[in-house]
Amino acid sequence: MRHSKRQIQRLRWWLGGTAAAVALTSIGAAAADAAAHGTVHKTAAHRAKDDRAKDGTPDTVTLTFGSYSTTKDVYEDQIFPAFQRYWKQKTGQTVIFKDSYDASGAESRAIASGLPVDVAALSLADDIDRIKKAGYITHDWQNDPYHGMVTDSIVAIGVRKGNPKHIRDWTDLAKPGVVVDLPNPQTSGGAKWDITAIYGAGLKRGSAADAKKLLASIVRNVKVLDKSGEASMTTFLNGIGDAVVGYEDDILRESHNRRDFTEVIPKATLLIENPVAVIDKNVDAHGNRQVAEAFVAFLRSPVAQRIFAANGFRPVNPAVWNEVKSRYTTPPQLFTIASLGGWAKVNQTLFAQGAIFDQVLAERK
Amino acid sequence: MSTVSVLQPAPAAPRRWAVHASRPLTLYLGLAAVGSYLLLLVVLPVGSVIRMALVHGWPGFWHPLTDPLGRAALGLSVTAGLLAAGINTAAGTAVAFALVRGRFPGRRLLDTLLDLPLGVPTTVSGLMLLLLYSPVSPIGAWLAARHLAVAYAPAGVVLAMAFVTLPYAVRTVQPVLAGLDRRMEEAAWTLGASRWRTLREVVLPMVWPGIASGFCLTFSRAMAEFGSVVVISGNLPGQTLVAPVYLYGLLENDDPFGAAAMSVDLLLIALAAHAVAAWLEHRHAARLRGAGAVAGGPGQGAPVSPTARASARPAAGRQAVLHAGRLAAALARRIGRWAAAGVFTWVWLGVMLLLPLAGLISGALQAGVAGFVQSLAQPEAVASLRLSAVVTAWTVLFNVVFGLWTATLLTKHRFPGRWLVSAVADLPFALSPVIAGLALLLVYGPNTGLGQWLQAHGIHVVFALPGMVMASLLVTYPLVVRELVPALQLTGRAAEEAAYTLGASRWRTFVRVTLPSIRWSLYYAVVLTVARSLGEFGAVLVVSGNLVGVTQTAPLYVYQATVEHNMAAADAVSLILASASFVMLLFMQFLRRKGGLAHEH
Repeated sequence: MRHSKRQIQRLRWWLGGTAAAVALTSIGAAAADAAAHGTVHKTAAHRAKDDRAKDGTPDTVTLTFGSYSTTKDVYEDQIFPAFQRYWKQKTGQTVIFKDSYDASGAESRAIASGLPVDVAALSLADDIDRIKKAGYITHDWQNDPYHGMVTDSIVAIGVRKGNPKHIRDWTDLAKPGVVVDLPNPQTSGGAKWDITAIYGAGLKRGSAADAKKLLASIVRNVKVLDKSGEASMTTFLNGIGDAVVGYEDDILRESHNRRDFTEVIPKATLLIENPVAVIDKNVDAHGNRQVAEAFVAFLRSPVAQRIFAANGFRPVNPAVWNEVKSRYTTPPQLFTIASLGGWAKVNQTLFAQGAIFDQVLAERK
Repeated sequence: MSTVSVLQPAPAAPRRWAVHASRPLTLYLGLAAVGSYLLLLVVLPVGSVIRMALVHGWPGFWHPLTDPLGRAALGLSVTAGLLAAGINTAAGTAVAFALVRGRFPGRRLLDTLLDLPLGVPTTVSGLMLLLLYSPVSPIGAWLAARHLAVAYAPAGVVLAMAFVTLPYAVRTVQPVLAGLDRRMEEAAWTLGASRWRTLREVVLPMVWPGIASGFCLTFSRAMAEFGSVVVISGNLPGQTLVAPVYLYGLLENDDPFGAAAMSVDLLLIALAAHAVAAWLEHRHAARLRGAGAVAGGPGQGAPVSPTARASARPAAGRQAVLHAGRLAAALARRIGRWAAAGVFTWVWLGVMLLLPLAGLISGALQAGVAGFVQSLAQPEAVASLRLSAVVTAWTVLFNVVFGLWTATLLTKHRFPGRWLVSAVADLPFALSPVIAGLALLLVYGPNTGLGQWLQAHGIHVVFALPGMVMASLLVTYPLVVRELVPALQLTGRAAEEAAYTLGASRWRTFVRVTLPSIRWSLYYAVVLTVARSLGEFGAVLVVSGNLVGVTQTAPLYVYQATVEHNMAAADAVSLILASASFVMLLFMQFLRRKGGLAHEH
């Protein structure tokens, strides 16, 4: 068969191109293999080290930690180093942290479907209960002096600098012409805290019908119902809306960084309680229960609690709370989720399909 | 498009070809390989979602529709998806024509930039569009003064969908157009057909599969889009909340059954769209056969003669009632048809692509080049980019092998149930990425029988590399098949038959004749795979576990950075991801030019 010069050249380039593509993918594949082998080697090295340890305890211990989105900076930059120092001093062991963050509900679902997290610190107790329901937690995680909690906060309002719309309380958010940023409670754990705070504040003022009316008139002023509390804060920071409802710690951190908006604390609002728990099934599989439990205890210690306080959280440790109490405004009518009957009841009255929040949305138009 | 093409009866094939094509051994081997691949990647996961939707019996499918807010969400998704697909298909076909046939400044640049929306993580796409059109931006304020809203309005949903799916419509038509036999058109002109008539009766019938494929692809992908829409839409239930966000809400509220049902509903709608397109295609093919106009030869016609091009007359404006139309016609007459095509391409891609891209670049460089480099040098950013590269390399490898195999099986063989293979290969496309991830979790997760069995044998699928590769494959595999099927169908049959006649073996014919004739489609398929798997977010998020520095891919890192309002880092890494496909396309063009093939295009 005779080929013209051009055909041969074309064939050569075609083959060259294919060869290049194959080479590229093989390099990629080889890199992947190397990466996989790398981890194997690393663990092998660890094991070798473990064997060398004299008293039978290994030199390093790995702890996998899962939490909700806003906490990453606090844990990675401040809490982990503090615990690593503490644990090294106490036992001589080096703690290696592996960590994962997502919206509280999504993180909880990942752990409940097998993500091997040893310690989970999530936004609301409901999300820990989901993990327990899946069988990964076997102990009564709320049976301790802190009822399973690690930090507190309150639901607060962020307003533009100088408070041009004169927002002082929930009722001001219901006024015509005020644009409110709120996340969607169907997708955001933070939004559940927010909506419950508004509804609960309404209950403090009057009947269930009044509470629903307050919620409805605030929801009427919402233009954007973001996926998460963080997205809602981004919307506000991008210049949309007169007020944002959210975690006090988030508002404090962001307003501290940006200085172009301030916090307003309503007279009646909800106490936010963030839980932490050791995931029994995973620590037993990894053999690191001792360090996991020590880490949870450390999170309630004065050292860690002061770090949380420096980042806008309200400490759950009474001693530390007394130290920093003067920096926080505690509203006169602060209420808890327990006072409303717990998450199960609140979910049923407010957030179930066709429940109050759905009704309020349907009436919005 | 495979569903479409499969139902098109093959043009009368010579006996010799038919004998070759039905040789059982290659067919059975192919069926076994592609079949088991599809079983593991598509059938089991999608099946588990369908099973979940049916947990409460058949009414499960209608369950989301009994909720007025669910109905509204589905309605918005379908309407906005159709609009986005319609706009993109119309504009995309015009752009494909201009890019293939036109000669205007910047053509190569636009061609190379076109795939960028695929490589940008969708969350960032949404943010880019939001910053452009939000009521506090100059454009948004200008629009708001005219009582037009894009951000936080249904128009924003259409815009986000159109942006994310921009490349599909162009890229499905383009290679087919590039491979067209020009002699047919020249014959039509010689016979005195007008340019418009030639386009309508000769060119369009031949590129029709590409256009239909592009429409279906765009529509299914648009309906399933989550990341960018959720940022720009405002998510108000009953007004701007789309179905994927609605089902995500159900998932978050421990109603996985409702979420599965809604995603099956989305699947059914996408399949219905495919069926309609297939029927249209079938009718069209029948008409085409009647007219005896079947594309046959290898796609390397002689270049159009200069006289033929010079005789181009602008379409007489019978329908140019509109002032704008008349203006355009006048403009076209003044500067020539292809210049007009160039202007259109520049304007369309300028608004849809360059404007958001400029936003991304300025965002990445907001702290200067030093800041950009510093953002990228973070160990977490480096680790995430490396992981993304590894996942993408594996995805490309599997996609090239099994994508080619599937496409060959679908186009070169006749066997019962072929339509089924084709439909199954298309299925994942309409699957919302979050649900695609969930589906893999339902089959390979540590809480399932199969997952536990694999784990007992030391194989970790979910929350490890294999799961992430599978998630990427799930979202890119249909893309590859759809890219290759029209190309394989249109090109090379005559040449293949010639090769068989000359005694070449099946394998030799495939390597020496078939592969070279579809090489640009194959390269496009690789570029699409790279771009899409580098940018994939929703599906990977669910199966990776998002362990920082371990299973956190670049899009997940970007997501984390946006959550922390660290837009500089998000933009920097996104820019790198987007540039990857840009570099690959540059490389392709280099190859093409070096190979002395530049004029062919």
